[in-house]
Order: sequence, then C-alpha cells, then structure tokens
Amino acid sequence: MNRTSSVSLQIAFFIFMIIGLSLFFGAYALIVPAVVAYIWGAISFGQWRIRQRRLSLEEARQQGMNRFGLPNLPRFYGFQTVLWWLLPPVLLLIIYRSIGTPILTGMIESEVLVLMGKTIDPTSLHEFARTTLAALGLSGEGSTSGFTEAQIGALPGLTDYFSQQHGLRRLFWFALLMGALAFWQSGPRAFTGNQGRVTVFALALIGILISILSGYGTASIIILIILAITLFSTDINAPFARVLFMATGVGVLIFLRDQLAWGEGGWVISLLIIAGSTVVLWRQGMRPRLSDQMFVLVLLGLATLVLLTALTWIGAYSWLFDYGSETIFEVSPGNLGLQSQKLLNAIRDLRSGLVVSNPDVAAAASRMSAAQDAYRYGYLAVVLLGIACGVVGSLIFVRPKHRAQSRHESAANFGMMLASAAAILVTVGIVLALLSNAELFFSKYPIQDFLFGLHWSKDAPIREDQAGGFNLGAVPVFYGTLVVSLVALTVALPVGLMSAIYMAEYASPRTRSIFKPILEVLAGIPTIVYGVFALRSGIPFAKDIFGGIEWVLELRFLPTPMHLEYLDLAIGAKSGVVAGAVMGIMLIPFISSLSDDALKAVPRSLRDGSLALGGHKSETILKVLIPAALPGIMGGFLLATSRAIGETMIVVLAAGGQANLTLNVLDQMTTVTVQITELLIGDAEFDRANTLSVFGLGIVLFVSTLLLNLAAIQIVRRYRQRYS
Amino acid sequence: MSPQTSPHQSVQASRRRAARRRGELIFRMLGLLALGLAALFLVALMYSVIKKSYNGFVQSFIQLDIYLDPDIIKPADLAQFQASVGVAPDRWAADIEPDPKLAKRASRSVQRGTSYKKMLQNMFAEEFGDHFTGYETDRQRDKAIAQVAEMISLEAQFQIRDRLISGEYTLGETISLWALAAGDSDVLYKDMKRRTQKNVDSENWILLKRSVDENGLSVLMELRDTGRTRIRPYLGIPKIDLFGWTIAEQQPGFFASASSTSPERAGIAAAAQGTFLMLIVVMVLAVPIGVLAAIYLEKFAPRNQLTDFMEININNLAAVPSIIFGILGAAVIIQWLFPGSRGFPIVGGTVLAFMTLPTVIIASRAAIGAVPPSFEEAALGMGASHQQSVFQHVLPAALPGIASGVIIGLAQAAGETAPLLMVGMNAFINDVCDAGAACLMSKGVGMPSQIYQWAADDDPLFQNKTAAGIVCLLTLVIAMNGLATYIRARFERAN
Repeated sequence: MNRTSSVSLQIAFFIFMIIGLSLFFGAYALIVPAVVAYIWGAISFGQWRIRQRRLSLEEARQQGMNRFGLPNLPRFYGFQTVLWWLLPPVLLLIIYRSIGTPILTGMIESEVLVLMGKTIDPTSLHEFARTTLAALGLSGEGSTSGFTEAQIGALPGLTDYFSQQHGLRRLFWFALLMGALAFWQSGPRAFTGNQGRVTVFALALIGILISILSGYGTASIIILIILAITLFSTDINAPFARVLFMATGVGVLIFLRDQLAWGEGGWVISLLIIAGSTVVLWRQGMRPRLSDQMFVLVLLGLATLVLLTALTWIGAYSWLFDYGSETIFEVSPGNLGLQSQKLLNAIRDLRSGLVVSNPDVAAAASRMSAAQDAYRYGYLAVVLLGIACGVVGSLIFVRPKHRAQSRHESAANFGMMLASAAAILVTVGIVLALLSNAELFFSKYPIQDFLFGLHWSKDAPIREDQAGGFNLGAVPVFYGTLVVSLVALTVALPVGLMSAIYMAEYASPRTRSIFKPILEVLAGIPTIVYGVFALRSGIPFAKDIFGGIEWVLELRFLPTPMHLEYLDLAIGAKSGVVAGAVMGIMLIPFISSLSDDALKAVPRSLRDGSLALGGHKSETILKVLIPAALPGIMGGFLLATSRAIGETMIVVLAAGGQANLTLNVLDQMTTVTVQITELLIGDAEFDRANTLSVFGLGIVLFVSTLLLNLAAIQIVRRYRQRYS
Repeated sequence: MSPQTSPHQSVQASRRRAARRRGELIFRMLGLLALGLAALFLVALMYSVIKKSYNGFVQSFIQLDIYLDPDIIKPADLAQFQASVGVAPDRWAADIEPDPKLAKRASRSVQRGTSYKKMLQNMFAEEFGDHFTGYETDRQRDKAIAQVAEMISLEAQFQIRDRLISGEYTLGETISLWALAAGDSDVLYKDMKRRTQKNVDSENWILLKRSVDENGLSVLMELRDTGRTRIRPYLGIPKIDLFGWTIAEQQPGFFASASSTSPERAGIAAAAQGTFLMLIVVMVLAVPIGVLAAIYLEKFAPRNQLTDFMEININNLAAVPSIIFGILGAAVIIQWLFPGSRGFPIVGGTVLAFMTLPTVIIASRAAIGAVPPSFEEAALGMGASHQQSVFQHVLPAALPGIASGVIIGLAQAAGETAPLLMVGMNAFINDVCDAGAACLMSKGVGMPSQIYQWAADDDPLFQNKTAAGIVCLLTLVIAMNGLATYIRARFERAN
C-alpha cells in the first residue's frame, strides 16, 4: 500500500465514520465521535505533512517540527491553536441549535394540529407548554391552576422524563470520554507526581460537578472513589491508567446503549468503529501520544467546550423545549396526546421501514422525518464548517511572527484586573441600589421626618379611608439597634478580651488545645443557630432568672410582700436584652481573635522590659501590653460594633418587631435589620413609602458600618505601621 | 545584713507583695472565667440543640390493618387511572383505552384524600368502636371517629395510594402497615413514653387539645397497650441513580422529604439541595474571581491610589453586614436585571458569592504572601516570565492556604440566612426538585432559611425539626471548618 492510498484511506475512513454515525445516531451522539475523529484527523494530517517532506518523525522533530507537521512553537501557540480548533465549531453549533430546534418543534406542533383537523393558534399550544414547564418549576412564574387533575397527576412522570433525558447527562459522558481520551493520549506521565494529582483532581471535579448537575449522584461517588485512589496511591503507573480508560469505555458503551434509540445495534457499531479505527491507526505506525503540555491544552479546550455547552444548555430554552414538546404531547389531554403519539410512533415506524396504514399520518410522518434528517445533516455540516474555519483560522493567525506569549500574558493580566474590579463593582452595585431607591423614598417621605421622627409603625392602612397610616420616624429603630448592640458589646468585650489575654499569656499548651477549638467552633456557628438558641432557650431562661430576681426584690417570701411599682422585670415572648446577650456570645470569638492579633503584635522588648523591672504578668499586661495594643483592640472593638449593628437573625428571632422608645431593655426592641427583614420578606413591591423605607434604613446601616469599618481599618493600619 | 536596711523586708512591702500576688491571681482567674464562660455557652447551645433534635429525627408509628374497600375506590376507576398515568407496562397498548371523561372521574376517586380517610375511619370505627359511646346521633359519632382518625399522618394515605396505583396493593385485601403518626399524636405519644403519669399541666398537653381529644387519647392508650405503637428513626432515603438505573427508590423521611405543613412529614432534603446548589454557584463565581483578584493585588498590581482604594474597598466589603448584600440582590438582581427570578438558588448563590468574595480574596492574599520570595526569584532567575513564576511556582505552593480560605468562605456562605430572606429563598417548598441543573432556576430554599421558617413556628414538633435541621447545618459547617483547619495545619507544617 503506497502512501497516497493510505492517506486517502484514512480520509475516507473519517468521512465514513462521521456520515455513518450521523445516519445512525442522534445529533448529540455525533459530537463525541466527531471530536474523536477531529483530534485523530489533526494528528494524521500532521503525519501526512511530515511524510510529504519525506522525513521521519524523529527527523522532523530535529528540524523543529511537532507531530502536527507545524513548526514547533512555544505552548502559547498551541493554546491558541486549540482555541481556534474548538471555538468555531462550538459557537456555530450553539447558533444552529438555538435557531433549529424551535423550528423543528414548531413543525411537529403544526403537523399534529393538522392531523387533528383543528386550526388552533400555535401560540396557545406554546402557552400550554410554557405553563406546564412553569408548573414543573422549570421557569419562575406560573402555577398548577387551570390544569385537570389527570394532568397534574402526570406531572411527576413528566419530571422524571425530564431528568432522564437531560442534556447534561450526555455532557457528563462526553466529559468523561474526553478526559479519558486525553488521559490515554498523554500516557501515564502526566498522572504521576503532584501535578498529575492536581490534574486528576481537576478532571474528577469537573466530572462530579456535571454528574451532580445532571442527577447522576452515584456516578459522582464512583468518581470520588477513583479520585481517592489517585490521591492516595503514591505512584500511578500505566496499568492503572489503562484500567481507568477501559472503565470509561464501558461507561461509553452503556451510554450508547441507554441513550440511543437503536438499542443493541448502536453499541455494536460503535465498538466496531472504535476497534477498527484503533487497528487502522496502529498499523499505520501511529501511537498517538501527546506531551504533558499538549495534554493540558486538550484539557483546557475540553473545559471550554464543556463550559460553553453547559452555558447554552442553561441558557437555551429551546433545548428543553426539544424534549419538552414531545413530553407535553404525551401528557396533553385526550385527542391531542393520542394524535401526537401516533405521529411520533409513525415517524419511528417509517424509519424502521414499516408501512404506516393511515395515509395522512404517513405523509405527515415522512415530512417530519425528512425535516429531522435535514436537521441532522445540517448539524453535521455546521460542525464541518466550524472545523474548517478553525483550521484555516489557526493556520492564518497562529504564526511565529505573532508574539503569542506576550499577547497571552497581557490578556491574562487584563482578566486578573477585571477580577479585582469585581469587588469594586459589588460596592458600586450596593451604593447604586441604595441611593436610587432611597431617593424615591425620600421623595415620598421627607428625610427629616425619617431621621428624627419618634414614631415607627410601618404597616400601611388597610382601608383607603383610614386616616393616618404609617409613621416612618426611625429614631426608635435606631435606638433599639444601639441598645441591643451595647448589650452585646458589654457581654462580648470583657469576656473576649480576657479570654484572648488568658490564651496568649497564661494558658499551657494543653489548655490552649482545649479552648482554641471551642472558640473556633463558636466562631463558625451560623447566626441562625444563635437566633434559635436565643428564642427557644435564652428567653425562657431569662424569664426564670428575672422572675426570680423580681421575686426576691419584691420580698415575696415575706408574709406581706412589697410591691415595687416602678420595677417591671417581666420578659415577654421577645426581649432586647436576651438578643443582645446572645449576640454578645456570638461576638466573643470575634473580639478574642482580633485582640489576640493585637496583643501578639506588641514587640517582645516591651514585655521583656516590664518583666525585667519586676512586674507581675498581670501588671505587664494591664500597664504595658494593653496600652500598647490599645489601637489594635480599639480597631477590633469597632469592627465588632459594626457586626453587632448589622447582625440580623438573632434580633429577628429574639428582639421582636415592635418599635419601643423605652429605657426598659427587657422589653421588645426592634433594630434596623429586623425592620428591613420584615419589610422585604414578602413579595415586596417597591412602590409604596413603607416598603421603600428599607432603602432609607439600608443607607443608614451601610453608612454607619462603613464609617466604623473605615475607622477600624485606618486604626489597625497605623498601629501596624507603628510596630513594624 | 539587718532587716531594717532592706526596704523589701518591711511589713508594708510584704503586704504590697501579697496584694500584688492576689491581684495576679484574681486577674488570672478572671481570664479562666472568661474562657470557661465561652465554653459554657457552647455547651449550653449544643445541649439545647442536640437534646431537642432527637425527637426531630425519630417519629411515632402506629400499626394499622386497613381494608382497601372496593366500594370506596372502584376497581374500574383504579385501572382507568393506572392507564392514564402510564403505570401499566405499555399504556398505549393496554386494554383500557384512556378516556378523558372516565379518567377525570377515576382520578378524582383514586387521588382524592377522602377515599383513604374513609378507609381509615372505617378501620377505627370497627376496631375501636367501643371507645365511641354516648353519642346521640350517628353523625356525632362519625364526627368523633373522624377526629380520632386525624392521628394518622397524611403520609400514610399517600403511601397507600402510591402502592395501590403501582399495583403493590390490590383492592379488596386487608393490608397491615406501620403508619406514620400525625404531629400532635406523635408529640403526645413521645410524652406518654416519657412520663408514666399523665401530667395535664404540661405545655404539650395544653397545645395538643387542638386535635387530640379524650377519645383519641384512649384509642392511643389501647394501641400502646397492645404493642401497636413504636418510635423509630424517620430518616428516609433519597433517590439514587446509577447510570440511569434507579438503585434506591425514594423513601420518605427527614433526609429525603421537603418541608410540609404537617410537621411529622417535614424534612430537610429540599433545603439541603438548595444549599448545595447555592454553594456550587458560590464556588463557580467567587473562587476563580477571588483567587485571580488576590494574585493580581498581591503580585501584579502597581502600587498606586487605585490599588489602595481596591484594598480598602475589599477590607470594607468583608465587614459590610450580610443583609446589605441581600438588599443588593433584591434591588439589583431581582428588581432591575432579572424580574421574576425571586427565590432562585442561582440568585441566592450569586448574592452569597458577593458576600464570600472578600473572604476568599483576603485569605488567598495571605496564603500567597506567605510563600517565600525565593520560589519566585528562583523561577525568574531561570528565565521564567513574571506570570509563569507566579502561576507555576507561587500559586501551587499557596494552594493549601487558598483552599482552606475558600472552604471557610463556603462554610460562612452555607450558614448565612439574612441575604436568603432578602432574595425570597424562604418560600414554602414542599417538593424536592428533580430537574437537575434546572433546579438552579426554580424557586428554592436554603438550609438556614428552612430552619428560620420552622423556628418561627410554635408547634413543639416543628421545634424538634428546627433542632434536627440545626444539627444537620452545624455538622456541615463544623465539618467544613474542621477541614479548613486541618488543611491549614498541614500547610503550616509543610512550610
């Protein structure tokens, strides 16, 4: 066999593979062999170019050529080449899909309507489909109202159908296949050592993510096991890699059998194709094996591909609709469902060569199957076009005279700058959201009344003719916030500071090893847990305690108890002081760790000087360390204040919602955060003054915490400068 | 040396010394007291949660022998319904043609709760008829029986219905099953187990007057005495798929059910799913952006005012109250950008990602800054570009530190409640979403907001569920924090 014929054989083989597969399988399955063929094709093309120059692979390498027959360039060129190869087909496919699928769906619908002899406006059918999807929770609005019971009863089945037919499942297998391919080609080298572990880890993470999103919970567990083996085995050698590859192959076969309509035939054919192509390539003396760097490039390209496809899947309503329309016909009531099922069956029958008796249905089915075929060939054409664009583009644009590395690095630099700007964007978003809405609020409600008014009752009047309505004087709310925060800080500051001092100065390593985790756990507990604790344990406890105090103070144990008229120690269902105290517990680890940092930053010489003069430890701490660390402690205190002001869940659950301008801290107290939560928790419409007041409160909250934070940051900065 | 010559030996001096030593001791004790208080708070919190959570994980069950009366549900209706929902092996080939009119009636008969309620009531009337005496009319007696039948949870009705539809039960047979007890009788029975003597003053008993009356109490007592009641863990199994084959069917229970209006049926599954989805969104958004920003600020950013501003901004953002991020989500994402996305996990996750971003940046910067400069210098000396030296040498060395920072950020995001309430992720969700990634864009609920919902309910069983939910959340958060600590400890040892 001479060279030309072997090349033409190869080309013919690839063409046969692509066309044959497109005939046998659906369009989704096509993408897998297409990409396989694509990579192999690229390599064989390179081999061909090398042979054209009558060089051996070794000679070509010595002349500075890589296995693609291209000049051996640094890997940035390779990266750009891979991008060129992958992006055009993917982008074209995305466009093709999002245009083609709705058209196909629309055709099925109109055929069914014709069969039914009805001329229903197709939009109403769309509407039905959309509401059904909405009822399934696939889009936001809509409810199950307006459905018959049978339809609602069938909905769970429909959901199952959706989850089984998920596009993402295919993606999962695809990613696994691509990963295994890259794995196989790169050989075991890329998977030994630390870098290999990171690679496998990344690969498995991608797999897990996709498998979980697609509902393959157990598959992700299997990947996790593989991952664990990989991470903990010291040396991964070739046999392991082969086993993994074979396992993946089995998975692919299962995929083909499960997902493709042609059942048994499908996997026999795909097995033959894979085996045949391997034999052909092997006999040609080709052992496709990429370098580590190329492997990373393939992986990057794969990640891009998966990400893009996932994005389209999430973004394109049409993809869902592709399956959705078929299913919706199934659940649609009565005649419509039967007719569409008939049509779908007829299409299937026609494809397997059977005769459909009803001429109308047969005609419709043949029209539909022609349309589907056209769609599939179009898919193929689009892929080929994209590949051609990519190859041509890469040949034109990836050249040594382009400075690939500097372009690459400046792009990366720009990307990093954008990432840093994201944090600024968040702040800008906050400020914009608050300011623009607050402006609206203050145009409806005067700012001085809001800031200095003494009455807060946010509920709108129920009847139109009701006089008065809401009062939005926020002073009681601010007052409550201050009181609760004050209580919290009174609890947290001494306890936090003293525990930091003890941990830093006195504790033996053993004591520290006991208490450090305790403080860490306290710091990690979510605030909602503190809130529930305050509501369900703190308030009953406080009731008992203050009840007892009252009992003693009023001398109830005497035969004639006293009655203290001005003392009210009763605690209701909610209480400001309990919320404050529990918030104080929450702040203990916060203050403790910040004061610890501050104390540790004091230079050793100060401490040693005091000790050398004969000071006790406590004297050193009180007279030297704390004064020296005071700015740092102050900074921590300010940050803690800012946290106390902004804390939400504890006060929502335990402090209450009633705005009381009272000196009795045992009473209900409301805070800014409680009011914001209560106003926004329903489906709030931002058109009335009372819901808009959220933004007035929000601005006050944001500005006050901002000032506290800035002051704290500034103090801590100066303090650091002083000692370093 | 005589004692008079040394001022340190005088009586005043020794008194001063004693006072100083006392002061030292007091100070030291105060420190220990503070630590002890912190530990005490933790113990009190854990105790109160764990004690209550036990009753959230276990439920009472009652053994029932129910006659599936073919007079209440007609066999023809059942067959028609089975055909219409496609339970029959091949519904288009089945003998029974689905008929829209018949199917409507069939589904009304098969699906409606009253059919099963009636069977339950019949069972109670037959077996415990002697408890219902002294009623003037039959109607009053039926009403009393119906009241007692309320002690069986709705879950049991669904169980019977599903098994009937799937063909596991057939009409006309008497089935025996352990049925889940309804919330009130569950609390009552647990209380009965706890105290031998009936204590009428107990808070629970007063509450229970709502639905369990004297008849119910006596029926329950008899059930208990004949050994037909038991308390078992009610944990459930979530559905497990393997390569498209279902290996575990869903079993209702705390870990497999969504929330419900009846406390005994409520579970954490939907909330856990929501939290999981949101964490994925946080990971996808906050981690790459945060790490890239940290690399830039630490290694590439020019020292100028803009960088300074960025730094202050990030530090401030880390201390902005979480509720402000919630307002950002409500106003910018829901009000302006994507109306109608209220309550979607993708929105909640985005807001949490904003909140986590500064944490990730600060932790990553610290980790990158801790890498010895020699790494970078060696790479630069070998001719690597600045970016190559950072990405190929500094970043891998900083990876464990970054990972621990990221995990801490995720744990923080998992426990955050206020922003979720702001973006509407506290809706009542009574179904576990089964649509894969599309769940990101359907109304959802997170674990903390689910706990908040339950916590606001005064029903004692909901309080137990709250505690059980808190145990789940705490396990998750503490495990994540522990992992982060472990990674950091190994990292510090390695450097």
